[in-house]
This record gives sequence, structure tokens and C-alpha cells, in this order.
Amino acid sequence: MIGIVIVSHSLALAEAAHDFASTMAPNSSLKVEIAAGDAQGELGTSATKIASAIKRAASGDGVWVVVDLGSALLNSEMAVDLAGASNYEIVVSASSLVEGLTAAMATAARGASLTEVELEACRASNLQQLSLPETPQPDVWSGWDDAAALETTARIVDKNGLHARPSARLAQAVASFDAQVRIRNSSRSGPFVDASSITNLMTLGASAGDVMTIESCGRQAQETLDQLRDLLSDGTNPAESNPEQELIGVSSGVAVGPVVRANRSRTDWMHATYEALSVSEEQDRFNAALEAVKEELLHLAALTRATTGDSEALIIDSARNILDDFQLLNPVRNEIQTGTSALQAWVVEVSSLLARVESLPEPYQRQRATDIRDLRDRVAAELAGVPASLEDLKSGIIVAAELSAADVAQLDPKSCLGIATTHGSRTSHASILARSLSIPAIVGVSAETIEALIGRTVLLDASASEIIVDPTDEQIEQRTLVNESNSLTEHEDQAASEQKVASHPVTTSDGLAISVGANVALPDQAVEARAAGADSVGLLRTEFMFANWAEAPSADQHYQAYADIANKLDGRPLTIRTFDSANDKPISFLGGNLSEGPRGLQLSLAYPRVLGDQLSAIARLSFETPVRLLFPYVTNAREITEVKNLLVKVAKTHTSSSVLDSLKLGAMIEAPGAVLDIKAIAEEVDFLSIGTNDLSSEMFGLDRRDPGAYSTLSAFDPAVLRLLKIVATEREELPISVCGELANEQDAVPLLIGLGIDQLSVRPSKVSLVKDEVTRWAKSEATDLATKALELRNGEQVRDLVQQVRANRGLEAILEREKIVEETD
Amino acid sequence: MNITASELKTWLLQYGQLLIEQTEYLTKLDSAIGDADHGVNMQRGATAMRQTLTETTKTAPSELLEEVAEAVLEGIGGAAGPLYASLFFGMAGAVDGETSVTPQQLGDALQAGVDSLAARGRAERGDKTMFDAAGPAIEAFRQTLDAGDDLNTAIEAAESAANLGRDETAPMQARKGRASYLGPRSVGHIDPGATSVALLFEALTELSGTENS
Repeated sequence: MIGIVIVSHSLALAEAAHDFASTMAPNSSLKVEIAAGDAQGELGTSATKIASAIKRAASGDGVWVVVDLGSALLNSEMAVDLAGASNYEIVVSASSLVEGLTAAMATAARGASLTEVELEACRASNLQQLSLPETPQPDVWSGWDDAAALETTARIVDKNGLHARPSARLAQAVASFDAQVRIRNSSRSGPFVDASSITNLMTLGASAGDVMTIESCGRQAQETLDQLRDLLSDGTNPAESNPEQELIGVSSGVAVGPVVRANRSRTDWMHATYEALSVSEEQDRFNAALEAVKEELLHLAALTRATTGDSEALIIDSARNILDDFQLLNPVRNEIQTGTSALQAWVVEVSSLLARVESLPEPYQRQRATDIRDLRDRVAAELAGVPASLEDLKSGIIVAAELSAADVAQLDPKSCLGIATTHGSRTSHASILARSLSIPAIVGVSAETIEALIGRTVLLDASASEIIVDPTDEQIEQRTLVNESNSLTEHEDQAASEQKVASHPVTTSDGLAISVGANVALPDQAVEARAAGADSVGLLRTEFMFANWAEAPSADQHYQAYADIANKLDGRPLTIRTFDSANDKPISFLGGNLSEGPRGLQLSLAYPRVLGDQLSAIARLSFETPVRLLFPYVTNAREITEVKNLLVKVAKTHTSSSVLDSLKLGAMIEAPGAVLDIKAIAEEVDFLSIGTNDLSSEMFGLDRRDPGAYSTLSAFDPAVLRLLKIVATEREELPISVCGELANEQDAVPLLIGLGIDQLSVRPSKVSLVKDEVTRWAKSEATDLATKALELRNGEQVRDLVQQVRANRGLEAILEREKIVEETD
Repeated sequence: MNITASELKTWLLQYGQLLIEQTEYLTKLDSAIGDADHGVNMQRGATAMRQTLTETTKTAPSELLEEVAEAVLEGIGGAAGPLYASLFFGMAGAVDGETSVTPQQLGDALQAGVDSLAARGRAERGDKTMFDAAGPAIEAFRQTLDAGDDLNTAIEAAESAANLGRDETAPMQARKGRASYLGPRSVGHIDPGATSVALLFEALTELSGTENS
């Protein structure tokens, strides 16, 4: 896979472009590096910074560099010169930053070559320009002889429409004849354009089925028309004539059960009776519906953030942000003001937006339509008072035309045995969630097949991409066996790749051991964590496994869930954190959404039966496998004393030893106030864990749910680092870990080591990166860096410092290499 | 008769001196059609270059020029940094292995430097860039030597060609760099880059008399 470098005058700009483009390549292991700001850290670019970013991103498959403007290009080319001869190719892209990067990340994530990535990036940049309505059309019709012109029509057969490649073939054909040719999309009553220009052809907006009118005059007019008609009617990707689409398994596993239709039809709200009230009541209804849907998405984003990661959650956050967009909301409100019902005003306005998005030329641009349609239906269903989610499903295999990620996130994994849908792909958000929830899922099931399946019993084999109606016992037994042995092989494969990544513990370059664990929210991620080479699970967020439960789980249910995860870890330690209910991840059986009042451990202590069941399950597991117990959002030492008493009371000790001997207890330091009480807290526990997300957002009064306000940069702030320093100094020899987003940042790793942190717990996908970074620093060097960072003024300066130090090391390496070359000469 | 690293040092120290003296003027020019940072950037680059020149232990012209290139690259920064660095890297490459250079070799080196500058900036004559001063200057320098005249005459010819080239950027419409965003509004102003590069050729007069000494 190629590496990518973003070169920008501004770090903020580069990061925003990266975040934005990341939504096109979710969960990919793409290496993307940023080189932003000049040598002084001001707006500008620096050749040495770029050279070192190229080196960091380097892979045998090459490095693709995208730049913003002006000196960024000059410095990037200079950096390529500075890098000298290497065993990988470097392309400084001709594409534009946002469009190019977005296309490049999507293309590179699927393993495309450097050339292919550059091609796609340039194509995306050009298309962006073409879709501007003001694109000037050259006047080529002088000398056009209407009387002599011949005419023909042709229907587009290529299912992707007249996109870039067929346009190029068409333009080439035109150029090979002695004739003038013009073409228009008659199905859309478009204007004539010059057929010899690829860019003009692409403005036709010609989709499969559209009829083109082609006119030609000149010596070879007839031959030209014949050839063009053949080209247009002979697409290389003809539209599917076969209604039986190809089934694609998008997760693995086998499920057997009755087929149940997902309750919510996307158009249920259309059939609901809706009685419009007064204008002001309609405005209120509209606002209430918006709020309700936003609330729902907020919950979903938190779940996604914990299960799949930040870039995934960002998709949902950005969908939620659409509901705050005045460009969309104002026309709706104005329409309601004229007496139209809220439902009608909303649906008409969003549907027109939807039509515009759906007519965008590229499939990945059109994908936005799924989000917008989902929003339209959610708000409309809320207004019409019809169910918008899939909660009340009978147990079985769920079928639907399309499920959004939101739908899948809301499924109860206990009753949903499998999923079959018409639309979707392996990379769609819904499929990703299905995989992490271990639900066997197949897409590409035709509407006819779905209708025929309802009520029948089927065997859904996602691994083999097959659905068998009314399976025999023999078939069920055989498929299940094959699947089990397959998943065993998969595990062996994973074990093999585990050998390749850093599966062994790492140390700094001067030998200080730093443990790198993984943050896990769902059982699937435990396998991922082990495969990624995590030394442990440094944080199991228990609230997500039970997020949709109306009742608190029993001690047995807790035990089963945790034992299942421990089994997947092959003896690596498992750190289980008790429920942490907060604004962005409310738990219904702990009082639901709390905007005020206690959270974390303090809240759980108010529900001693719920907490007691959880503690007794963890205690039971601790006698069988290495487990550590972690308490969230501890604010003072008294809470620990209290929870210890409860723990001793509920733990069923089978031996004479106390549970406190076998179970290590830890406190999460997330409340800034807890730092002031750290000595007393440290006396009560065996280890400390710092949650930098809450710590920094609370310090600066930022709302973590607001992607505009909160960024990881806040956690780089020297004030946050100073708090970490206090904890590290006063910890009384206790091991101390950091499990917030900050630990996932390559730039933060040396700072944390320098401040005295012993353990980092990160997203499974970041384990190998973080381990690699640990080995690149000496403890003494990290300490110097951290000491300097504490003196700076803001997070940006801190990050710049780390990057500057790294860039200098890169330059030193370049000079060192040149010196060696000189000496050998 | 030949030019050594020590003479090149004198030339570039003088160039740095001129840049520092002209900081305000360059700023004024750049505020008309750019982002008003060329003066300050060149002054910072000049300081970095002069520090390198006073501390260097290099005696080979190519090594000295490489050090200067590295100093101005980040010292000047912006777009001019890599452009000037390209000029000096280009020169360094042309005199690789020499302990001193003849006036003809200096001409070849300057030509290589200016070529590399133009290539880096993808500049053509008339784009209203550094190349509009550097191009005519190096042509004049080499033509004068080819005609059999001495180094002093060649330097004079280069200096006046550079100044003429600089002044002729005034009526041009910028097609490269920040000024190009102004379109027709860039007309009527002298290009700051062409001005700073003309100083490089003006500083060459420090080498006059080398031949006679």
C-alpha cells in the first residue's frame, strides 16, 4: 500500500482535509503524514519537514504527495531532490488538495498503485471544475454547416453512464475522423457540446438509458456517426439485464432462522395520517423532531466512536451537523410559516437536496445521499409519529432493501441472527458495523428474492455468500462445521500475521519497557487487539456491550461477556472498567441521559445492585484469568473505599484469600479535581489510568460531542501535560497508563514517555504504529522533549515542537547519509 | 586569475549586505502585488547565509555553494527559499570537483543555476518572476566573455542587463506565484523577486579586479 503526505501552509487546513478525506477510507491502514508550516512553525511550508514526512510515510509501493498552493509545490519538489535516490517512487500530485486527497485515500485504501492513485486524484480534481455551471464553453461552431449535418441517436448502455474512460474513447474516435461532431443529451434536453473534448463530454451528465443526439458534418460525417453510435451502444460495463444480482457476504459466519422483515419501511411516514396544526405549533413540532433525531444520532456516534473509531463516528457527527445547517433549515421554516405542514415542508426541501446530490457524477459523491435520505426519513418519521428504528423485531434473520449504519447500530445482537439486504457493499458503514458486531450479513439480495423469503426458514452463510431456503439438518450441520473450521484457520492466519507485527513487548531505544495495550468495547475487537500485537487490553469499555439493554445485565451475563473476551486474549491481561455513563453515552438502567449530576464511579455507587453484579462477575473471572479492575471518573479517595467494601461483600471467595489479593484495582483520572487528590487516591489503588479526553475537555470547558470545538490538539496543551506530570510525580511508584485519544497520536508518544507514563492503551489499529514510535525514542531524549513542551503556550506549539525535533532528526539523517556517500566516494 | 571559494564568499557576503540594506524597499514592492513578506524573508535568508559564510570551513566552491543553498532554503522560506536554493544547488553541481573556476566556468555555473531556478519555478520569460532579471543577466555575462571581453566587462554587462530585466517586469502581468492571483492588477509594479535577484548580479561587482590581482 502506498503512503500519503499532505503538504499545507497550515496544520489546521491539512488536518481538516485529512479528517474529511478519511471518511472515504475508514479503518484503512493507510499511512498518512502531514508536513505543515514553515521552519519557524508559521504559515508556510518547509522542504526539510516535507522530506521527513515522506520518509515517515514511505513504503515500497511509493509515496503520493499532495500540496495546497504556491511554495508547497516548490518545497515538495525540493524535498524529493533532498531525499535523493531511494528504493521507492515519489509522486508530487498535480491534483488539488481536497478533491485529490479524497479520491486518493479512497483509491489507495484498496491497495491501488501509485500511478492509479494519481490518475484518480487528478480525475476527481477535474470533475470538480467541470461541475461548475460557469465552465466556459469554447465557441467551436463557427463553420458549422447545419444544412449538411447528418444526425443519429444512441442510447447509453454502460451502467456507469458516460464517465471518464468511455468519454476518452469517444473523443479519441472523433479525433481520428475528418469530421466535426457535436452531441447533446436529449433525455435531459441539454445543449450541444463539442464531442472531441473529453471535458465537454463529461458535462453531458449522460447516465445509463439516456438518449444522445449526435450530429456530424465534414468529409467522414457518416463513418464518424456509425462508429460513435456503436461505441455508445456497446458499453464495456453493460447494465445488468439479469435481475439475480450477485450475493456478497460482507461479514463471516452462518445463521439459521426465520426471515423477518425490518419493521420500518423507509416510506412508512408517507402513509401516516398527519394533521397540520397552527403555524407556531408546526414550528415547535419541527424543532422537537430535529432535537429528537439529533439526540438519537449523538448516542449512535458515541457507540461508533467506541467500536469503530473516530473517523467512523465523524460520519454520523457530520450527518447530525446537517440538521444544524441553516441553509437547509431556514427554507423549511419559511415554508412552514406560509401555512405548509412541517412534514410536507421538510420532505419537499430535503428531497430537492437529495435530487441534487444524487445527480452528482461520481458514485462516492452520491453516497452522501444515503445519509441525507436517512436524515429525511428519521425526521419525517419523528414528525409523523411512526417508529423510526428497528427495535421491536422478532428474533430471526433481518431482511430489508437497505439498512443504514444507524439501523445496524440499533439492532439487538441477541435477536438479530443475520442480515440480508438488497443494497450495500463490503465497505458500507452498515457492513463494517455488522462485522464488528459479528452478525453474518449478505448484500445484493434482489427485491424479488427478499419478498419470497419472508416467513421462510433460511440458512444464511455469509462466509460462502449463499442463502439456502428451508435447509436440511444435514446442510445446517455441514455449513456450521465448515464455518467453524474456517474461523479456526482464520485464527491461525491471524496468529501468523501476529508474528510479523510487533507482538512482543517493546522498549525505548535505551531499554525502558513501555507496555502498549488496546482499548476494546466489543468482543470482536479483542481478536483485533490480539492480532494487532497488543500486550494487553488496557481498557474494556463495558457500557457499550449493554448499551441497548433496558434492564441491567445479571452477574452471570456480565461474567459470560467478559469471559468471552478474556478467552480471545490468550492469557494477556484484561483491564475491565465498570460502567461509565456520561452525556454522550447514556445507560438507561443507570438513569438514562444525565445532563447534570454525578457520573462515572460516583453514579454507579448510587446503583449498588447494578454495580454489585458487575463487580461479582469481575471478581469471579479474576480467579481464572489475569484481570484488572478499573473505576471510571474517580473524583476522590472516598469513592474507592466505598467501592472496595462493596467488592469484598459481593465477591464469592472460594479460597481463603481475599479478592483484593488477586484483583488489581485502578482509578481513572479524568476529573481535573482528582489530580489535586492524587496522593490519597494512589494510596487506595494498585494502578492509575489517565483519560485525557475527558481531562482536557473538562479543563477547557469543551463539549466532546461538538466536533468543531473539541480536537485532540486540546490534549496536547501544556496545561494538560502539566496535570499528567503531577500525577506521574505523585503516583507513589504505581504503574500509570494513558488510554485517551492522545495516546493514539504518534506525536504524543515521546511526550507521554517523557512525562513518566509506563503504559499506553490505544485503538487496536494503532497498536503497531505506537509500538514502532516507542522504539524510536530514548527515555532521556523524551524527558528533554517533555520538559521543553511544559514551557510552551498551547497545544499547537507542543505538537510543532515534536514535529520539529523529528524533522531535524530527519535532516540529520539525510546529511549523515550524504556524509557516508562522500566518505565512500 | 581564477575565482576560488574565498572570492565567492566575498560576492555572497556583499549580496547579503545589499539584501539587508534593501529590506524595506523589497517589502514595499511586495506589498503592492504580493503578501509583503519578500523583504523580511530575504533579510532572514541573508542573515542565515552570512552566518554560514562566516562559519564555514569549506574550501571547494561546490561545497561552499551547497552550504549556501541549504542555508537559504529554510532561511528565506516561502516560495523564494526553494527557488534560491535551486539556483545555488544548480551552481554547485556545475563546479563539482573544481578547486577554483575560470570566468567562463563561473558563467557556466551561473547558467546552470539560473536554468535550475527556472525549471523549479516552471518560469518563462515574461511571467514577471525572478527569471526575467536572471535570464538576461546570465546571457549578457556569457556573451560578453564569448566576445573576448574580460570579467570586469562581463560583470558590468550582467548587472545592467539584470537591472533592465527587473525594470521591464513593471508592465508585465504576473503569471506565476502569488502576484498572478491579482491578474491585470499586477501590471505597473516591479516584481520583488526580480529585484532581489538583480542584487545578486550587482554584488558580482565585488569580483571586479579579481583578474587583475
